[in-house]
Amino acid sequence: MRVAVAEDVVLLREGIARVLRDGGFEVVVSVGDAEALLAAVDASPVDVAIIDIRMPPTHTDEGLIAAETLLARTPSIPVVVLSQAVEPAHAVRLLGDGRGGIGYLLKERVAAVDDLLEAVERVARGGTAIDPAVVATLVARRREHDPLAELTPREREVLALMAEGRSNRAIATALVIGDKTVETHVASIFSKLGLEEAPDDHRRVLAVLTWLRHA
Amino acid sequence: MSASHRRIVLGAIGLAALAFGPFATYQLTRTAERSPALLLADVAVGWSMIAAGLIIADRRPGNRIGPLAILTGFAWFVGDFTSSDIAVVSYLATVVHGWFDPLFALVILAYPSGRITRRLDRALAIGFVAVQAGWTVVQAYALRPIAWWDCPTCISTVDRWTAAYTALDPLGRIETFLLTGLSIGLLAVVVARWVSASGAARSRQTPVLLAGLVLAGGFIATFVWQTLLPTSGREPVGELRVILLALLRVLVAIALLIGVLRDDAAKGRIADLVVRLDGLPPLPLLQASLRDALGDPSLEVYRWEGAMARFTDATGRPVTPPADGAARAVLTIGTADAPELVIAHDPALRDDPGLVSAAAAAVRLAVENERLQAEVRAQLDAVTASRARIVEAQDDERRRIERDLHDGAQQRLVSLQLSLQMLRRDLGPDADPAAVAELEAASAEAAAAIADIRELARGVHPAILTESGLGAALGSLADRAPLPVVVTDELDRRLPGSVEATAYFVAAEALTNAIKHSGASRIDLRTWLADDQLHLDVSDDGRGGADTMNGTGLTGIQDRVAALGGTVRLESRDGQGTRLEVALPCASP
Repeated sequence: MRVAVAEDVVLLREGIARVLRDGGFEVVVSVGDAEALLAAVDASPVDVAIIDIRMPPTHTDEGLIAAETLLARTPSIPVVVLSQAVEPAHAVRLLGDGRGGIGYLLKERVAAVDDLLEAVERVARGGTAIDPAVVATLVARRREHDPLAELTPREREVLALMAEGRSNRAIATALVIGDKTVETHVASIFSKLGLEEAPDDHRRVLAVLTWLRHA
Repeated sequence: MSASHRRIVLGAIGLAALAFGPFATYQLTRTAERSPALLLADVAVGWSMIAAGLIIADRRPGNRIGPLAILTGFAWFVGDFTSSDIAVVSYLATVVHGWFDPLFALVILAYPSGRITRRLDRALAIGFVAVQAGWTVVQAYALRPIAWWDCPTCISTVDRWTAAYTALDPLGRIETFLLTGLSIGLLAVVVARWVSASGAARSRQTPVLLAGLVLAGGFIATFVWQTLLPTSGREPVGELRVILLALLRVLVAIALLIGVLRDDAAKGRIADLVVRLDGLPPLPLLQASLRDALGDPSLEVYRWEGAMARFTDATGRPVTPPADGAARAVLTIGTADAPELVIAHDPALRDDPGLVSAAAAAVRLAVENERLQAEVRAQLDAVTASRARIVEAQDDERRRIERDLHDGAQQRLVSLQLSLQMLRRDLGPDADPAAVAELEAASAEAAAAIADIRELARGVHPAILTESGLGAALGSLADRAPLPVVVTDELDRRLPGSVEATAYFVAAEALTNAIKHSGASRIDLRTWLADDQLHLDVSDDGRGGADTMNGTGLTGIQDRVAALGGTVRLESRDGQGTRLEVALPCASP
């Protein structure tokens, strides 16, 4: 699988590239800023792009804008952005109206090698990967007459994994429970939160994240 | 005219009056027997008017009452020449001698400032002059044959004189009637002035009241004699009346003189000046005010222009002010090294040192006021600007620290963690479990450090504020709040960095307070733009009663808001929640 990496800190860029190569990816583009990324991806198409949000020249949200530009040009291209701050708004912004192939990970996730590879693979296949820290922040929000209080501890675990973008199968594997049990939990969560069942996993992510941010 | 010139002219007039008075009075004896008392009274009236006029002209060069009174005195003496035994002299005197009363009326109307300003006063003055001018023309025309006859007292012509005068009688009555009406109007004016004045001002009005009574009384008496008494009874009427009237006129002249010269008027004008100089007016206005206050139309004010190192006059032309001396009296406002204004005035005003120094004090006060105000304004501007700069510098510094944390320490720790992970992989499955445990511990420590730095950086200055603006940053605050926080963001554009940062920190502080102290179950954050101001409302449904902003983190926030020229209002009644309203100026880009 062909990967593009855009990261301005050379040490990290090399590290990420090494982790990806070790994980069986082919790193065809390795650049230090957004402009170079867009040019390189134009020249040699990739299967997934990994983009640091803070890049030269202003070190603010160049990466986010580059990701959006890339998505506007090729809506189907899977993109993983790396963020230094927990900003759920950015994740939701990238998810748009519920497309797949989006990853929003904290920068330090690159050091959790297995998690990174798993997330990149999931996104490259059209899935969604939201950093657990982002989900945890949102779940921790307190709400008026908080419906989350009605969830069982197990249901909360399932909710968090859903929000991270995992499929029922992946949730079953992670929690070491049966697929049927997961489905029961999901149905119970949606009814308790007053949510409609989403037609696919990534739309489910958007629905859950939006609910978590605004309920 | 310089003071010394004026003194010479006034002296000459005085000498002329000394000689002319007795000569005129002597004319009275040419046609009839007169008592010495009457002659003395006659010369006293003319002299007293002229003397009063001369003194006023000397002491108050700008006051028109001086020349008017002199003219009135001479007009009095001219009347005596109607008794001349030279026909042409008698004719000329007859034509012009009637001007005494109208001139006297003008003196009364112009008292004490020398100007006739009110509309009714002006109308009366014009009426007097017009009636007298008309009568002068009529007499000059109708009596012109008389000038070429023989002596008016000769038996051969006395009948013709009488006939000529009798022919004019009806017109003369009209003239008397008109002047009587005008003098009654004048009397009404001075009575009204006297009644409406009080205290010192009333005593100042007394001379003109007296003068008005004398003038109007004279006219009314003449009118009564001419119109109502039989022709035989018309002729004067006893020396006693004439002498008494003359004495009254002398008294009036003296009273007018004292009234004009009294300091009250000058004090009043200086008081006016002080009021008018509330703030230093432009030079032409200042000059006009001083001319007015000192009664010196020749007064000039010069301003020192430090930048050009020269003086300019009221018209803005560069000039060299005159030196202090006999020709001009000069005084400097400011110090000798740093003059601000130079005032050159008539040296005659030196006779009235209190007046000039009072006016100078008023100007000095105004100059000093102006200087202090400018100083305070400049200081305030400087402090305001520096306060705003301090806030901006603080924001820049925070942004820099946040960036350094993210781009420096955090990146290095992530790199370190990645290296540790790679090391762990390289060690393979057969590694020493103790070494692996050490590695895992180090990696966890690095992860914790990264999380710490992330939160620290957010507290210093959230990246999302710089990237996406106030609305997104407030949303991010709400994402983390342990309470439901509803953000209503109505901003449609980005605002200056220091405004966004200040609003953000105010909101963060207000949220912290509400969460800690209010027991609220919900907080509303609202932002909108109106009148080039950013408005931020933070309201909760808690218990309220946060009486002041003291003792909370809002004190610092208030300083920040004030530094940007904004306002903070806290409303927190018991049981009704707390509402914080902030307005920050942010001019449209």
